Amino acid sequence: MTVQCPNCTHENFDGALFCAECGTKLVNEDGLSTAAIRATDSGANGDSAGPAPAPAAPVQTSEARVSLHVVRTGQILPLVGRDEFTIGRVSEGQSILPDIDLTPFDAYSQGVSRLHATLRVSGERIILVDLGSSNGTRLNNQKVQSHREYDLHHGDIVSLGRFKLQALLRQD
Amino acid sequence: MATGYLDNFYARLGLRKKATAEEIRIAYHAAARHLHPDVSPDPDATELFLQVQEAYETLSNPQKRLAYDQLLPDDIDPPADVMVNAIYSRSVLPSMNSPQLVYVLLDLLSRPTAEDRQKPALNVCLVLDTSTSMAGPRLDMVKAAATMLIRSLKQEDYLAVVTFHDKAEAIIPAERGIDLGRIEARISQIATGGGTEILHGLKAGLNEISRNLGPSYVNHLLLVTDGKTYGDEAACLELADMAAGRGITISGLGIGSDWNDEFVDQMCRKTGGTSAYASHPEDIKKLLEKQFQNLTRTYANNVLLDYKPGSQAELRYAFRLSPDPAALDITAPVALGNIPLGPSLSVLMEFLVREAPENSRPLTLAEGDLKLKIPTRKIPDTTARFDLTRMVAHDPEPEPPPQVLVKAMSRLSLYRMQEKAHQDLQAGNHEKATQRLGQLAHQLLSAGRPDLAHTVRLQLKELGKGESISEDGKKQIKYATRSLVMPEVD
Repeated sequence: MTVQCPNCTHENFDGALFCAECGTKLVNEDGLSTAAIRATDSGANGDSAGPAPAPAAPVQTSEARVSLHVVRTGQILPLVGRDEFTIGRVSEGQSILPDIDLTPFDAYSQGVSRLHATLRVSGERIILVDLGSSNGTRLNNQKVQSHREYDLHHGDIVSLGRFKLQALLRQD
Repeated sequence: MATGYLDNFYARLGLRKKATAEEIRIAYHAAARHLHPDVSPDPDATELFLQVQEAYETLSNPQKRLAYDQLLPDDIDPPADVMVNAIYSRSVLPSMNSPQLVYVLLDLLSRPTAEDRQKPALNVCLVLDTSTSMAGPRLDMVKAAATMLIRSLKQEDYLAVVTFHDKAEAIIPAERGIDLGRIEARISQIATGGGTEILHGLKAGLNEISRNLGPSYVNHLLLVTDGKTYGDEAACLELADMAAGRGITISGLGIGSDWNDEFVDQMCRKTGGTSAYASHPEDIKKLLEKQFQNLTRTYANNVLLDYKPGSQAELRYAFRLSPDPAALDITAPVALGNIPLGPSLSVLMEFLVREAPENSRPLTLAEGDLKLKIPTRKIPDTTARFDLTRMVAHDPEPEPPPQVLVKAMSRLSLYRMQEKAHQDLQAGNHEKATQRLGQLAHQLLSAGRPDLAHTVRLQLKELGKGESISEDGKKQIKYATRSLVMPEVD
């Protein structure tokens, strides 16, 4: 597979970060190639052109109104029992613990803060707020501002640092 | 999970495998002092800090540590007191039967004990070009700079001064506890005459350093020149190889447009040193002072990566990002230079993996020994086994390459483009070079450097008229794009 430079059409080796000919950046902030990926290799995933689409949302089965899909591992975390959830990771000597602890998913190396963000269920709305995390939060790849409310929809991808969660809302 | 020879939690903290809980705690705090996002002015430190924190969270917990230890090879022995972190552009390589690039940022940070805080003793020789072209402000500035450097020496430092044109003379033979008055008088008497024959100067300089050569010194030759040397280049490179083998580093300072930067670079690079460019005589003092400071702030030197590439891999390019940006010689062993006290020695490597078949065992990019010398130690020489490996999987989850790598590469890509443009020119490919310089001008503009973009455009004009580009402009662009790699310096 090669990566074609959008600027000068040079075919770069797969994995190149910048075009070897003209120096144009070949990866966007999220690391997916911004250039068209050409498959010359039958073993590879041949039919994906352009940035990879968001993974298809698994079907929601649990009772919970909202669940979080850990994109990396495929695990689903149902949010039940209250209206507001803090998301983060637990480390030694921490006094305030998050409601959803992502430590088992290698959260620290992915840049998740101890108290990274909250999710709140308010009537029909599901609201995401970044709690001033060190590495920031992205909603569908757009950086969100800290301490501001953003509405979540079914299938939205929330990145805490580099840790990706997909919002699954029960549709009824 | 990092369980390689030098890619493991112990190496990240600069600890041996048998470290006590207290040593682990102290090492972590030392690392945090350098890398914690709250204290480090370097925004790129965050990713390194996360690596160190991940290591600490496991090693500080006895159960986790025990479980982790069982995953490690039996014979690992990370070099104590150097923290080694490797950051890869891909955490898992996608399996494919066509080539792919993998970038590795290797970061070596000192973790000095109290007694290492003292500066190492120097064994330095200044080798000064006194050919006719040096007469006037150039020589005056070199004399002033040399005098200033000599005043800053410590009692235990050895210093020698060699002057050369078509022959060489050790006007100050290697000595320590020097008599400043006498030496300053000797320096003020330096006169010019003859052409530039670097081999003579190099030979005499290495000879002076050899008198007191030892692993507990920073052994260094500093060459100052303004001219091209003819016919003796191959012999000079051979001497540089020999110097590298004996633990002597060479750095160069070129003045004006006539010296051969590629040759001086090549010579220095063999030893882990680098060249600097003074376009005006006024720059001489500042640049010499900086090179000298790098020596006095050495924690470990003669850092060598004695590597063998994996069966599917090839090291295509290596560049030292800090402390002193420079392209490195990729033939093994790669001389990486010095690990300073404080900031890290940071090296970016580009590997080409020809084919990555799916496998249950990791794919090796390179393996071998990391060798280094800590002059202030009783036993300065250290060797540690290292390997750079990645797992290969079918169609792994796409992931962003670490920001620290993307940033470093974006700064480096400008330097590489001018490098390639000059390679094109040397190969006689004017059209390609013109095209590339045009792209470079464009990239420099978007990087907020209209001044440099302008210099490149002037070169393009000359090329368009069928003339060769000016030596001055070429050096300006080379050294300016190189300094962009580490913007906080300068």
